[in-house]
Amino acid sequence: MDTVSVKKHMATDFQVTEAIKVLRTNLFFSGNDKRVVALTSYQASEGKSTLALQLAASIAETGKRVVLVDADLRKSALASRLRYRGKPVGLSHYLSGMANADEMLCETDVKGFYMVFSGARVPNPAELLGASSFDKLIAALRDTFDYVIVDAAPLGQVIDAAIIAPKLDGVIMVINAADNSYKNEQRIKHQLERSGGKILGVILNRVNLSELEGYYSKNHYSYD
Amino acid sequence: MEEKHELELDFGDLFRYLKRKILVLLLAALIGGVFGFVFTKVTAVPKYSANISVYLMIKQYEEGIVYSDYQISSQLVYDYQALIKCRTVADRVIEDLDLDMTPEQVADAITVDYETYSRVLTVTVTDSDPQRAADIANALGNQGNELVADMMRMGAIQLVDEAKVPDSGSVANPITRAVLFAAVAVVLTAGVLAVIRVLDDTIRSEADVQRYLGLSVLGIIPENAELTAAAKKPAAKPAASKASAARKEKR
Repeated sequence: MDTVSVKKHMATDFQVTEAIKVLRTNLFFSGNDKRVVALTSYQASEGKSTLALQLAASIAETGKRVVLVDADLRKSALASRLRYRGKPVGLSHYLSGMANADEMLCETDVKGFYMVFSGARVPNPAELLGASSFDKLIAALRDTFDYVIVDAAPLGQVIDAAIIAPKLDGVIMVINAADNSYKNEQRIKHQLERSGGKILGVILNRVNLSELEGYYSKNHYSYD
Repeated sequence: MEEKHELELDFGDLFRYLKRKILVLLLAALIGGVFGFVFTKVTAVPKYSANISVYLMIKQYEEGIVYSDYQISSQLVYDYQALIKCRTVADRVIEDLDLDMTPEQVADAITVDYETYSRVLTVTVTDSDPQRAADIANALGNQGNELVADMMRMGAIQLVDEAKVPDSGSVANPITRAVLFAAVAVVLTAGVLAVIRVLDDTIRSEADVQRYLGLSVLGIIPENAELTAAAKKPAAKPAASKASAARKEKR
């Protein structure tokens, strides 16, 4: 199995790591039955992939086994982010029957944190994700790992996230603060609900702390 | 969750936003103030004021002054104030002095005041030319009063003081103008900022998420330059593949 180096991509800022821990805790508190979750957003570059990475690593730090699946088959965000030039076998290969599950699983330099890249770009990602092979994969991952984090494509641009939503335990919407009209976010929320997906909640990303009042003021996270 | 169409004014949010933008507002004040100052200095034209004093008292009876004379005159004071600015008087003054002014301009230059409880009025003429100011004032005192006296059907209106040519004028104070411009600039800027903020329909806080989506917030991640930069960097470098190839060897 290949090893991917992720440690150097981990956030070091105290406020950020604390925020990720809060997120992790809230995810755990969403329920024991919410262990396979996807992250989606309205558009690309809302920080969804970075967040997925930080969150998955953070879950691994608690001693749980977690796998991060890059299900954005049109744009392998995670592979390029981690500068991964290792084996090219990923989710798309598995879903189209060109590889089996073992071949696409990767270790990382964080104990308990595993990864599945998206693989080569395909012309029909929505169909692949809707096929039963994806269901089988999820079932298998669910048995092997404590948590499965799926990085899904932005729902405002393609339908992929809505297709896989009902197959998972829940979806979390990633929203870049002050970036999108609320109407857009409402649109993808409705899309997810219509598809039978369960929305666990929202992650507000890239928040300018001085904008928040009261409890979440600038100094809230600093404990030193 | 129903769609929100109405505009909500959160004054607390607005106030905090303007507080954050204090530098912008100060800059606006500075620009406004400097502009006001310079503008006033450049366009400042000293204005000179010349005035005459006039005494209004009718005398109905040959024998002497009676109380009703005072009463009537006191009322006539008000009439005088209006009549001295009428077009007939202005035309006469323009004609006599051969002025290059319209009757409206003459009327605008005149202010009339009176001493309380008396029938003594002060007619002030303000003009950029001190000599002209004095000439117009005196013309009002002579020909003007003649015409008005006729209109009011009184005897002669008495001229108490003639106008002297003023030797000093007053100019708009550049400091007060600067302050005024600065204040206006700040108000306008604050207004624009407020409109921008109120029209902003993006989601920026937990309250927004609750209001527009009815979902709970699982995490609030602060803006972090390091992470944002990492997100924007372009794809893979060969170094990583060498490292993973090396690890493959080890196994």
